[in-house]
Amino acid sequence: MTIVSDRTVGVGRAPGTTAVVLAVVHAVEASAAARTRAALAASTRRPDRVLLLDATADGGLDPSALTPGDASAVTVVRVEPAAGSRAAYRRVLDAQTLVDVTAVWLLPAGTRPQPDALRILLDTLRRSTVNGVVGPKLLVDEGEDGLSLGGLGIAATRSGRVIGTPAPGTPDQGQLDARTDVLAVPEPGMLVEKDVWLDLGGHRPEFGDVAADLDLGWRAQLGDHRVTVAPAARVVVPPGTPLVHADTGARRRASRRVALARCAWWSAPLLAVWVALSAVAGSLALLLAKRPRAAAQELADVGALADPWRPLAARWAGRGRRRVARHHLGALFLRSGDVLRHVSDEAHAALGLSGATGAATTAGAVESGPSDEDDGFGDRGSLVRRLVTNPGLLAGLAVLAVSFAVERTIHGGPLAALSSGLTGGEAVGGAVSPDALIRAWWDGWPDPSATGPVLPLLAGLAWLVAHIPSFTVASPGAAVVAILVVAAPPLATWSAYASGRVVTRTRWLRAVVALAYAGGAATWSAATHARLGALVGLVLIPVVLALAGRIAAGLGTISTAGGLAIALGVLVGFAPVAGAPLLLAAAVLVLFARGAGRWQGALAAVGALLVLGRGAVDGLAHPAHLLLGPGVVTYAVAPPSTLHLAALDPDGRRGLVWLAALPIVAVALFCLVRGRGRAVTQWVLGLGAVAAVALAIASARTVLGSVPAGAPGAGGPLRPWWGVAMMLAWALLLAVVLVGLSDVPMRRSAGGWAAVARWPLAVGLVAGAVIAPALAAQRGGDGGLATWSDPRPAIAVAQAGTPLAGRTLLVRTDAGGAAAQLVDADRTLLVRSGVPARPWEAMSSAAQLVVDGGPDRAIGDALVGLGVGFVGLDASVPAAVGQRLDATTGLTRMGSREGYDFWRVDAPASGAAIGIGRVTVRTAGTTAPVAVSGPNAAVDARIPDVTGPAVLNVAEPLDWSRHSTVLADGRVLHADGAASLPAYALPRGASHLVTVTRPVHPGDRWVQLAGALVLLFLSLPTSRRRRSA
Amino acid sequence: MSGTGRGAAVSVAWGVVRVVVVAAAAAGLVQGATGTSWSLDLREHGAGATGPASTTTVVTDATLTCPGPDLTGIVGVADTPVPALAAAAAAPADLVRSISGADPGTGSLAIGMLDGTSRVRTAARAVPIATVVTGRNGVLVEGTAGLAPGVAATQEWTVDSATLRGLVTLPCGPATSESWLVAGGGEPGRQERLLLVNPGANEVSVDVSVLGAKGPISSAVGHGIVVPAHGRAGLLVDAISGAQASPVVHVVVTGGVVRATLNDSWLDGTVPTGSSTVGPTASPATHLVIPAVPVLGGGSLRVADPGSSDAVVKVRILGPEGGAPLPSGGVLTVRAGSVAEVSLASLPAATTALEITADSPVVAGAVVTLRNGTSPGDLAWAAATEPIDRLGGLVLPATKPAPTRTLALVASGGSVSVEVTTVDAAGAPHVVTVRVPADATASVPLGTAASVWLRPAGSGALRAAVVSTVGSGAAQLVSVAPVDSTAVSVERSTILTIP
Repeated sequence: MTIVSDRTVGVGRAPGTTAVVLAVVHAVEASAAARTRAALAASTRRPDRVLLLDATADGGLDPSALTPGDASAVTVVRVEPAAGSRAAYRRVLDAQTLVDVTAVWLLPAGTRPQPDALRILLDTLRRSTVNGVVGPKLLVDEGEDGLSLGGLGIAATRSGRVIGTPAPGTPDQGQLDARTDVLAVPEPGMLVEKDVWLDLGGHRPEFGDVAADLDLGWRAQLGDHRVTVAPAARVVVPPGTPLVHADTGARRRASRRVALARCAWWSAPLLAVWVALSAVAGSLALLLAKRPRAAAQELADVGALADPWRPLAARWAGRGRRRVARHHLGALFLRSGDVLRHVSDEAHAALGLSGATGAATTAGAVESGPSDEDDGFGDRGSLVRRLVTNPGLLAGLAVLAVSFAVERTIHGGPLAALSSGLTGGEAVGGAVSPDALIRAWWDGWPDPSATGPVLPLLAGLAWLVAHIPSFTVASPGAAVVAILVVAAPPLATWSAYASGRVVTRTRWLRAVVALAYAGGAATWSAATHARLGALVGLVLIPVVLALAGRIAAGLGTISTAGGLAIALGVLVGFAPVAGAPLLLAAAVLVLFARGAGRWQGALAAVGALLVLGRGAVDGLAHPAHLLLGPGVVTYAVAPPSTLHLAALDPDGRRGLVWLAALPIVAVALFCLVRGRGRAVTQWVLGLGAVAAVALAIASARTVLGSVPAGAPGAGGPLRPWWGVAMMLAWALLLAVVLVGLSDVPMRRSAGGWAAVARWPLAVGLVAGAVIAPALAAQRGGDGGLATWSDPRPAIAVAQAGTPLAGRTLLVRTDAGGAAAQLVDADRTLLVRSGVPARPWEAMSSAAQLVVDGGPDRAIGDALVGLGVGFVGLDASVPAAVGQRLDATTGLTRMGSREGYDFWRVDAPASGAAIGIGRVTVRTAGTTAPVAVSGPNAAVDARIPDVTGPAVLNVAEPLDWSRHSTVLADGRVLHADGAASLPAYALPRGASHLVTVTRPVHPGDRWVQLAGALVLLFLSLPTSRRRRSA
Repeated sequence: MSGTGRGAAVSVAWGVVRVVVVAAAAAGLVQGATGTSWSLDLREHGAGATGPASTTTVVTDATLTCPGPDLTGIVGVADTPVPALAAAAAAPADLVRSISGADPGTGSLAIGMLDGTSRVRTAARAVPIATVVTGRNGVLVEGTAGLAPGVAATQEWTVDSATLRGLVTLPCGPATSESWLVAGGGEPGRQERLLLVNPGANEVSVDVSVLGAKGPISSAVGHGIVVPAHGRAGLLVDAISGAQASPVVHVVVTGGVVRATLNDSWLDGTVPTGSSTVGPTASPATHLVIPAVPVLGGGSLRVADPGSSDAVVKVRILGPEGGAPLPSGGVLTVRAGSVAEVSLASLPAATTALEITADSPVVAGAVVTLRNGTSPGDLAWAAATEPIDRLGGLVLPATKPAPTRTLALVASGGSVSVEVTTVDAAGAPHVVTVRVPADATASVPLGTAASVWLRPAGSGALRAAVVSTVGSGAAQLVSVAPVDSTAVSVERSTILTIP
């Protein structure tokens, strides 16, 4: 014990009590000590003695100055300022100091016990002889916000995880008043029986503050000294006083060490392992909840294991004092359920799923601010009423109705098309499965350049469509195209409506603008021609503009950046003419955005490139490929004049189409005038709209390639469809309108007669929003869309699946020559994209033999080599060709279907096999198909043991062998370099064949997938968004 | 002005500036774009070239079919075996090279019965191979690889017996889905055997109809005749049409192709009066030429109008000095769906060509009869032929006794210079160039040539036939075999791959 001075001041003694209470006040500064002394002076039961521990820097604490006029005796003891209160208690409060004391009351300076606090604490302590420690209800002085509940006892698990309740700032509403027995109590206001104090030896200061309190209580419990709380006894502490939360890494680790010190010695190693595992698991969970800092703290708990000496020393110091079996204390610890419930509550708060915002309001701040008009205020009515009166929903439904009206001209009907798919316009129809789509992307075969998000997204949508209950589709892929053609305009309406919240909360304005956006001329031109990429772009453009706008305004979060990255990447993949300039704009954000917007812009730009995959890099070598996309390329279509392009009239219709755009343009010009806080935004949007019009004009003058020979318009130019840029221009123009009218009152009650004078603006806006879709509905579609139906016979469709994976060769002729199409289950093309078909010499040769004739057996052999089991001749093919096929060995006429005459190719001698297989094993006497298990001739099959010379033939282009690995019993086979199709000599005894197709750069797919998943995770909102102004 | 008012005015002013700038930018953009023809071409080098709809390549496979024994194989009709011989050869390499521009290379040529028997194969070009035609099936000739360009084959037999007399020389040809055959007659003892040979791997169904002097002859017989794969079917035309005086047979195939031939044999009482087998005549057209009609006595030209409107037909003879009308006038009207004949008896004894022109498509064939009184005689049918394209060829089998052969050339619509290459049995070629004036004929004796090849050049269309005779005078046997085009190159369609 170090006593700097011993000055005794007189102390008051409450009459009628026999207990002697020593109040120990640890004073770091005089004013705090004065507050504590004043509170003590006001107590109904004053402490019998006061021991003032002077831990001030200068050591000159004058006890007489602490409570002027108070003649109570105070003993002042100088202690080391840096040692902390608990170390000071431990050193000063020895047997000699406590010789005639009954109980010790710990009061760090600044603590203000309420008048009845000591009386209630003493009553509780003396109520039972087993009571050793009593703690009060701690209240935190929040200043002007009043008092909040600081804690009532320390709760922890057996592994030392302290779960502090309540959350800081929670008002005291008696929610914890039912507590009695607790594991430990915080230091402020703790009343300890002298004997217990001496038995325990005070705090272990090496555990810090909260953990030292936990340790004291834990040891008291193990020493058969009951630790309780007295909720009626209230003690006020200053803010920042460590109480019941292990809210720093040091406190968390110290608590863990307490557990390691107090558990059974044989369970300490197991507990250490549990601490490590739970820390890692917890940090991962927090990362998923997008709490990186909390995750780091959680993981830092592992650091508790790096210092085993403190727990060992504490364990040694406390040896022999345990009087209670550890398992008797089970009820005092938090259980797994309590922990999980707490974690769940935290997760709900983090994800914004509960009403809690993650930060509790203070006692004084009950009001949460003005409510969102979308939330409704007060009585929002029933769900049905809210839906019926939601203008955004109504606008979308109106556009949906227009969409069906426009698509009524689909031959076969729009409803049938939704399940069958579409052909005509840019849609090519075809039986496309989600498996083929995703494998084409993952395997990088047959089109290695298809690395962008188009295939995976279509695969996902196709999978969903295929799994809709009671919705039978012949081709999920084709059905997706049809559904998007019909559903994209209303989806774009809702997308624009929701995105408009960035600018304004005025629902009817957003609804009208959304209607105008989705109802534009470019929309219906795209829909009636099945321009898939443009329709997807139509939905995404408002999202991209909104998210970019939030980032530029400094209102973005990591979720905003993640969402923008994904939306941009998908937009560039589907509609590069619109997506690429917006991607550049996101990169510009890096330079001009405010605050965190810079790195958010960088994340969005880099993330979008990640979503695009290697195609973004390959496009630099082939610029024309960058502008290709599904349905966004024109095939020898004469573009409209410059004036039509500038008027956002993609089909050159003039007339009412221009009339629909004119009022919108006029309103936009008016809105450009309005400045003040929106000046910069209007500059950007206005000039951006002009730039987008320039893009439309440039699209019409750009040539990407030539229409292949034999296709309609052969030799003509391929150009990017100018309607995409028009959509972007239209969106920016309407954004000008939205920004300009966002705070313009239109009703007399809100803006007086000046508001009424603005009605022509509203009329113009509504007229512009309604005319275009009305026109489109009246006119219908002229893109030549029709319901697709599979021309192949049912048996051909069946054999196209596994295990044969057979093919059908469809041939047609015209003045330009003959066209051949190989149809199989690996088909992925749904919409023309300008990407030329990869030439396959073997297929061309086989088709040439079919059309022009050849040696009798050569035709059959060529078809079998290609895995073709059926040949179909279109009605355009001269009858002589069919007659020749009738006379061809190996071909048998089947009949006609959907305008095609079909022949079946007879299977070569193969035992019991029926049909032509994609992968075959050819021996001297037989050709037997090998079971194919997936797209791209994937095989994982057992075959009869090879006893003689045998060749594995794969009916794929030769390139396939460079992209694939063939294994026989685990041994890699090498392709025969002289063969025209991939052929592999099988080793004798081979019985298990495996083929694996891989992309040229397999790592790219993993990086792309991982990047997309991370971005998707980042884009998920995990807390309530800040409302836009 | 207060600060607030001044600020609002400045804001409005900037707003106006904004409108003006944006509007000016838009207007300038449109003006500038309209005034320039700027464009951006991102096509890669070599891309965009559109190829032709088809390309020409050397033939790599050729298949010809002969009827096989003409007088056997009809159920219910007694077989009359004949010593038929079928011979095939490929054109000389120099000819093929000069036409195709490429060396034909090596290959194989095979001839044999359709059922695979009696098969003979060679890898030598120009040297003919032959097989004895037996059984009741057709003959198949296959040329592959380097021996596919310029393949020709001929089936020939000669019989002079108490019940049958004739020299039949018939070029083998490709199977077709439709054929017109002009032959037969209504005289007692006249028998017409229609043979249908299916070289394909699938059976086919054939409909046979007959046009007569009074129009189409309807009959249930002749519909749905099944010809087995790699097989032959035969029937008597009389079974369809009865004893028609001037039948013209129409064969239509469903499900494949067949080679149709029609044998016309006449046993006048007990006197054999000749036998001739004819292949398909030229398809209905408004201009037809029969290249060689060896008028040695009687004969007639038979014209059929398969259309729906009557045809006015003009007939002209083409000789060495040019064209001349028929002595009998040479204009006749053929009613729709019927057949008409005009006599050739007034023509001088010579081999002439006949030119038929009509105002609607017709088919035609000519017959010559050679008989002295009631002595045994012979007849020969000559069909109208298509012009020779780039190379025509006819193999001349080594029949015993060896016929005397003369090549008859006729040019129509312009003069033609013909490179006539005769190849002997050893394969040695001999070339002469013959100039045939427009609408005139020329003849070239063939001696002991084993094959003859014709390469025309000029503005006119060349047609040719080989007139073969055995014996002399009124007792000679005669046949007319057209020289058909033989494929050296073929149009290969450009295949566009649809993704």
